Amino acid sequence: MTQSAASPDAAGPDAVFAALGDPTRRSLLETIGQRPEVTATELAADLPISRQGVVKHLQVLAGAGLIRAERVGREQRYRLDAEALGDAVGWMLRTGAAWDRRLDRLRRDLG
Amino acid sequence: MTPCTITRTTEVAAPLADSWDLIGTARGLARWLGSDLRLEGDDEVLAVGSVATVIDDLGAMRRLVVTDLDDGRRIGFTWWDDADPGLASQVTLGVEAARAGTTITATETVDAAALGAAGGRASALVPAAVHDLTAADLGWGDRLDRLARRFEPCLALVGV
Repeated sequence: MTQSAASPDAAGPDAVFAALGDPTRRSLLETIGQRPEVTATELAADLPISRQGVVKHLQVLAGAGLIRAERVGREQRYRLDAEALGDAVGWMLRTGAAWDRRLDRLRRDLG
Repeated sequence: MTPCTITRTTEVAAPLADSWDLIGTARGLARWLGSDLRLEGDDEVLAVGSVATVIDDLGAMRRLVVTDLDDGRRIGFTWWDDADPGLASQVTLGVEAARAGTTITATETVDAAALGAAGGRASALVPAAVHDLTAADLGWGDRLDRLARRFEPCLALVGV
């Protein structure tokens, strides 16, 4: 796995605010935060915009240091870099997503 | 201590006793809490003081110590990532009979100060928002919308 992440130190607060100012990017961030990692194609499947449009939003989020991109084979996979949102909010995003996954397994087990 | 809390509630169409078997026993927790859970020592029954190792679904190893057990209703434990033992959090899992089955509640709390909330690039803006974000059981969309509203004055300043 090769890493091609935007450096968290490279973006300033302006980039973070600009990235969070768009509702589509907030929606993407929410979805990325709920999964260990995800591709642009998977994200586009749930949205009324093209994969190309999703990629542009992802580039803004990566430029702000809010997500990280990793190339796995031919795929670019994205994951949340929650530290850019602050440690407390980052913890909430990671921990909330982890409990969502756990309770999904529990529901399947009891179903 | 400034607590930072995540709460998740779900309702399942299963009897209370079946739900408790997955919450209050080591064998049950091993089926969903992570990819594996092993109690330390020979004891196979969870009790206050029981120590376990959990491999979470992303492969990280966590240590768990049971701190509270109300048989059939609630279990509490402290756990931490083996790679970051200074950041322990408290988890409570509860079951309650519901009309169509069982309501299961999971709560995880950590001391915000232990997260280093005073540091980080954007976190100077965040502490005031944290209480607002954690006060209610919100969806992620609502949380991010609230966060964005907190940032609105700053967004205006930078012309967004």
